[in-house]
Amino acid sequence: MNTQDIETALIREVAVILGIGPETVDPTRPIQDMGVDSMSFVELLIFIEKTFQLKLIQSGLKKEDFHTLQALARRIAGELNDDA
Amino acid sequence: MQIPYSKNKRYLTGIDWIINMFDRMLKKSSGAGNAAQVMLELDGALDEAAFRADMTSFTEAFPVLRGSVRRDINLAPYWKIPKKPPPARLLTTLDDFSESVSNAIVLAKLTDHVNDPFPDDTLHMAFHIARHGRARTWLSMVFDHRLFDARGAEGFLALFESWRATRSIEPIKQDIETSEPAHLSNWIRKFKAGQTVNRALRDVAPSSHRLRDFAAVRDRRTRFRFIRFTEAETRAIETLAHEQAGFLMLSPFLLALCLQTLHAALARKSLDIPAYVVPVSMDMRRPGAWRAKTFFNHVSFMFLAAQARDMADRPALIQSLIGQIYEQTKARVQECYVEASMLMRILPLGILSRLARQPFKGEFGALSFSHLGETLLSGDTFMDRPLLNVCHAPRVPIPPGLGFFFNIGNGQLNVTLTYLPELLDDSDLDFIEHALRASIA
Repeated sequence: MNTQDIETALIREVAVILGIGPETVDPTRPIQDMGVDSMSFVELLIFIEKTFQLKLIQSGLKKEDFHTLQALARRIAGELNDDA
Repeated sequence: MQIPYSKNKRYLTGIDWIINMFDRMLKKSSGAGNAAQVMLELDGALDEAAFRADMTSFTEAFPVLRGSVRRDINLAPYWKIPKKPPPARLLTTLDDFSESVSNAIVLAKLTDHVNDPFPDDTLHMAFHIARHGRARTWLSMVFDHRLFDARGAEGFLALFESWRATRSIEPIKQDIETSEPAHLSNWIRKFKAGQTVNRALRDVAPSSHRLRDFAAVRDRRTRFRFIRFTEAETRAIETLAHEQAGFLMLSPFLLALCLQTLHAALARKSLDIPAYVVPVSMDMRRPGAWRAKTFFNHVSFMFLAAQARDMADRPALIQSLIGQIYEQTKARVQECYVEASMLMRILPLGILSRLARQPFKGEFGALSFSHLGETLLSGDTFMDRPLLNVCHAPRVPIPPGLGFFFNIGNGQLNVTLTYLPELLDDSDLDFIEHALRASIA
């Protein structure tokens, strides 16, 4: 799965979590500005664990890795490539 | 089984029934019900006559505000919405304080109204105004938790303010849902949800310990301590939360601070509490759904445990809380609580209150906690006065008679500590406030 596919999957999931259309999710926008809070962020991390087998909750949750879906997709792609 | 919708009958969800159970418990233990208040701090003097007139007109549009609880022939409890509501009756009080009176005294007098029961069972809100000199006004909306949760009460005031701009009620009414099906199907799914909730409760139950014997508590009027952080302090707290707990982990960080400071305060009183169970309430609305879900309760609960041995080690405490939040969310405990509680509606409230306490040895946890996040009342003004801050002050069931409630109003983090005076005294409260402030300094 490449970074673009991961980003698309994240966009779809955030749309489901927030109850909005995927077309309104901007992957370059800070996720808290879209309405993601602690609880919906945890939901997103659980989706990532189930979909990509990555338990990022234990990763230290640094802002630079998570503040946009674009950054998050890059982080996931990096982890998956490291594992490959 | 699909029950036809009725404009005059709103079935209660399982969560609504749990909130009704707390209402009964509070009435039995303290005389007044499960009420809460949202408080607006306004710059300057509020025109209270204009407010009374406008709010009276606005409330007339919502007969649901004059409803009461009934039980249907199918045994599902419902909120009976009167077809012809009685003439509008707005409960209000007005107190004028000179500027020399301290803010703490003004707030103590204002918030004590929440301990007074509503005059009858078809009145579910009241407004209390405290003018502090000419410079400041506090407006408190006391509401029956059976009809509003905290977010819903904020939403009601936000809708009132938007109505004042247009005086057009129909577009507002169209957005609000006041119907709810009876949820009398999918029994197996509800039972399975109940198993998930039971497993989660069993996991934390060994950590349940009482802070004191509540049978001996005489003064059961709830008190409040308000702690406010400036915008700059709030940003510093968010940065610290990010550094110590991780991105978007403000809530578990705040809970960890509360537990540490409370544990230290109790230790000063030679109370050695080995562990705490904390029921955490959370808003289940999706962002933007608050208009539709203004009335009734749209929350769920998570039960977290904290061990005394972790209190001196904040990173360990935070990681323990985050780990529990993660695992409970993964097991869908919050959704299961909503689903499984539908089964409880058949029980009379007295039996339900005894049953609900069983997993925790008769307690409901050691303290309540919630972080509501940014207020919905984000406009610059309310009733044409600049809006300075918004905070919440709910009563909590006895036990636990104690709670920490956070929200952000105009960029300022507010903490409301709800307590009973025989549980914490002024010196304990000063200690907790000082410790909270020191922990983010």
